[in-house]
Amino acid sequence: MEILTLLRANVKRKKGTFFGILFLMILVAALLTMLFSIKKNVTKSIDEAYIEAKAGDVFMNIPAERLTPELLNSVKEHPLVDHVETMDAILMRKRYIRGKEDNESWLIVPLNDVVTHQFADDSFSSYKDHVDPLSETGIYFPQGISTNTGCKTGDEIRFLTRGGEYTFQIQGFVVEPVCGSSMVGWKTVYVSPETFEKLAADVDKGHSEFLGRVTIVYLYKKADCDMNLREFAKKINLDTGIQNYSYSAETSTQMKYYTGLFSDIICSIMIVFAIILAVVVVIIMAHNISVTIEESYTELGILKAQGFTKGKIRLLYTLMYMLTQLLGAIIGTVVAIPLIHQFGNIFQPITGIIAKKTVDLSMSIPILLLFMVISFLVILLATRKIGKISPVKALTGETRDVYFDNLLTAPVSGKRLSLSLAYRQFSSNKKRYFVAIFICALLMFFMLTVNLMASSVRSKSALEAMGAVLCEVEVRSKETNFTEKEMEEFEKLAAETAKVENEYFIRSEYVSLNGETIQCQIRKDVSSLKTVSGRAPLYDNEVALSTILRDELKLSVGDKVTVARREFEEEYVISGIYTTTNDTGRQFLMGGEAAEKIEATGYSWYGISLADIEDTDKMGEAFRSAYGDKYSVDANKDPLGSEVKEIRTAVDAMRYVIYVFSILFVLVVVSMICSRVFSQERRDLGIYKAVGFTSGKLRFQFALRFFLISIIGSAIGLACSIAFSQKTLNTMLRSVGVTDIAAPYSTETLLIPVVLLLAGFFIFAYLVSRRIKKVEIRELVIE
Amino acid sequence: MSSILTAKDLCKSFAHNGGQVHVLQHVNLEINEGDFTVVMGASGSGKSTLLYALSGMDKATSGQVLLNGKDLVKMKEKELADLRSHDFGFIFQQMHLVSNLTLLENVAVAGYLSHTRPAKEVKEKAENLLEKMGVADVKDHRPSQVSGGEQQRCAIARAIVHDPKILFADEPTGALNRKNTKEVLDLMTDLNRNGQSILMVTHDLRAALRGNRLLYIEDGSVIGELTLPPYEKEDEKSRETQVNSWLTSMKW
Repeated sequence: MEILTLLRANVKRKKGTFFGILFLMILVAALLTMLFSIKKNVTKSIDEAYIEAKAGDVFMNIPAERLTPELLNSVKEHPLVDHVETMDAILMRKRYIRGKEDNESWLIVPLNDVVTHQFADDSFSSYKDHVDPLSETGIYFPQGISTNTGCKTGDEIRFLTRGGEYTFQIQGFVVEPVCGSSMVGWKTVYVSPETFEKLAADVDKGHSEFLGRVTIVYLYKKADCDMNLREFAKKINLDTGIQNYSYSAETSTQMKYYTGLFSDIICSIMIVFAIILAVVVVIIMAHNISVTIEESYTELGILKAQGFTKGKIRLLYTLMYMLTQLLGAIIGTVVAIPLIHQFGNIFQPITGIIAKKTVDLSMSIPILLLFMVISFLVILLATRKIGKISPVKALTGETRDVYFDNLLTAPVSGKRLSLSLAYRQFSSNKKRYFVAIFICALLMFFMLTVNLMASSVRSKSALEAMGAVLCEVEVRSKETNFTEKEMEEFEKLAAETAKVENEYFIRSEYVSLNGETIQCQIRKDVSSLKTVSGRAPLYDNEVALSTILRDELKLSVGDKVTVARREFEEEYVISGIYTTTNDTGRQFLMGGEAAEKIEATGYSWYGISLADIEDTDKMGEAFRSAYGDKYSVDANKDPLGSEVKEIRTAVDAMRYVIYVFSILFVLVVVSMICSRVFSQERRDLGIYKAVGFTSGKLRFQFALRFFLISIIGSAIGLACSIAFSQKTLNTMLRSVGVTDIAAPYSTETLLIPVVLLLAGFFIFAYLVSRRIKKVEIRELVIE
Repeated sequence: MSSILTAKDLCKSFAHNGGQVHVLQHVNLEINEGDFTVVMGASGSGKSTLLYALSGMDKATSGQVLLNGKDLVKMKEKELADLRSHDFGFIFQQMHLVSNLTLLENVAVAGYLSHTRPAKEVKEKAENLLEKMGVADVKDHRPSQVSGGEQQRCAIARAIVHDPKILFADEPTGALNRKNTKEVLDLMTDLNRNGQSILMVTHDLRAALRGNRLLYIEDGSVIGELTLPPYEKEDEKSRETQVNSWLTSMKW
């Protein structure tokens, strides 16, 4: 009973502190529950969409003419294959959406039965109960196309075949788990069976690499096969060679991974942030306990004199803080429910799948419990010194002097009185501010790390350093590869028009590397390739491997690999290792002569990276006037702009969420520390007032002190960022192929976190210190 | 001698148990330049409240406190702060030095704030004052590292570093032992001899002897006044008899 009485009294007396911890705990619990739920819901929804679509374990699309009955039978009869399903499709790599050229790879398939598919409403927030069959000119889309191109229901799509021009209208959205995500290069679109037949007949009149008949093949693994899908796909390919003939071959594991990759990364980063915030809560709590014990020295002595044991007092502290945390965790979990409903579908534009909005506590509860166990241990440690309090010493007022001399002491200056006094207040009792410095440093480090990530997807040089090929001007052939003469003319025209930094003739296709289907980039000139070890594959028997592939396949420079494309197979030596973000980093590269050995000849894409992006329009115009009729020419000052638009938007959204949470934490931390400092320095404030300081001056001095703290914290955060941000990002982003992120510090990277923290600390300290106004000089007088 | 501070019809009341307690009742008073005025009275008589009201530490309920024709009662916080940094100096019973500043800094900060001298001069003056107060050898110590007497001497130096028109002292010897009390009172007497106007509230007869004008307050009203010649050590005995007799007449 006595514990409860004291508990009630303490909570009432220090309600500001407990409210602060409660508020922070609510934020952490809500954030963790929301993030884990969204992460799990996205994964679950992708899995369920796969089951609903009855998609196979391995997905391939093979040019119809290459898929011979013998080849198909060899797969069907393979002992590890349960069954095979095929579907006719038309591959289309070029069309106009709302009048603008789009070059993503589409697989057009007939929609035979609307019942077997799930359709979404226009807002893509729920499934439709009833769907009309497709009209002759209607087309159903996966969400990923809308995300990448901005098209909506009712928009027009136009494309040409040898048989004539087709115009479609978007009739609605279909949930397509295999090829529907904006993260996957292929997209499946649906037309009516009648239209498909007509279209197929027209396509048959003249195939090209850009418009042709393909067969989508789904392989289903036997239930008793204990291989993972990657091994299964590799084994089938090694035994039958089917993947060597396909445009692409992916396992369902890979496709699900690509589909959920982005949401997974964003959620993981945010979870790390939430865990950092949880650590902040523990630190604040430990600091709070320590200061409270110092402040309540006499009261604790009195309690001991009255017969309270050390254990009872420690129990009191434990109950106070643990109950606050528990209450915060419960409220936070409840608060997460509407948040999950609000933000549960936030990744839908990227995944193309409507996510569930269920609350998943399977991860958040154990983490919150773990966090509370850690808190409990911290409380036990922090309350150890209660045992050392002597009732006699406490009652006679024998406490330690708070202030002490130290090396950081600087003289109080008359010219910069407020600043020097603020510094003195800080340096006299640094221990009191360690927690604020630590938290400031932690928040600065995290904000900078996320900003570096954001700037790395914005800066051309950063993306190039990570292996991206960025060209302001691109020339694409509509049907055939460029001729040798044309290629020479391109180079000449580019050199004459503006200063060229780099130019590329590139061809990318999926081929088999040691039996696994992997994207191969073929470059006419490989000399400009920057490698992290070894050198560029300059000779016709050499290839370079991406860092991710090197690690995945456990290969190194000097090793031999077998590359197979259709009926051609060749052995190459690995000459070097390079970084790339293409195909989530799973890529290898070879020169034009090396590619000739597997009959991968010719280029249909030419890109120019300009020394000065202001020349973009000029260069684009030069190529348009010379080749506009024959080839499609794109000129864009931000070459990856549209492709990474969603990623940039999401990364920016994540930055802003982190900013908001950081500022909330700064507010609570400053408020708690300020209140504590205020009560400790109330007498000094009265003295300052008595000698002529105004409340405004004292508040400014108070704010300056926290400003100094934020400068120190920010500097430490920046130093940590310089030392560890790159490594942290490399670890976090490895899954998207980034193994050596080029993270450039810029004014923009630094400005917002620095301004946010410095201004946050200053302004909040100024606001919280308004209580200084209420300090009366007469409080100094003993009646 | 001319008046530097005038109280006119000064009243101060506090709300208490739903009613009003009238602590100061229509006090009319003039503090003259160069005087060492001592306010005495029993506990709860209102002497400290009078000090707060006259020094602008606390607002009077009604009436006026005039300094150079300006009414302190109507002044805003900034004007009062200006007054404290230029015209008034305070000495408290508990010294109240800022604990994380050295003695020298405690004095200098008050001087810097007045902005009447360059910072360098203020520092020199603070050093001189501490020397004069006999605490130069501990000027770089913090308050917790020196004795109560040394702290109070530093507090006096702080109170006069900006050459205030009037020095308010609230029981300045209340927390000191006999030896330190004498030293502090000697310093205050010296200041007064050099022209410093002082208004001191005290219970202590030894302290009261230093004044040349003694006021007695009872139930919030000044009911008696005794004028004495300036303090001289040799006259202390006869002075004590005179003050004792006056206090007896006031029913002390």
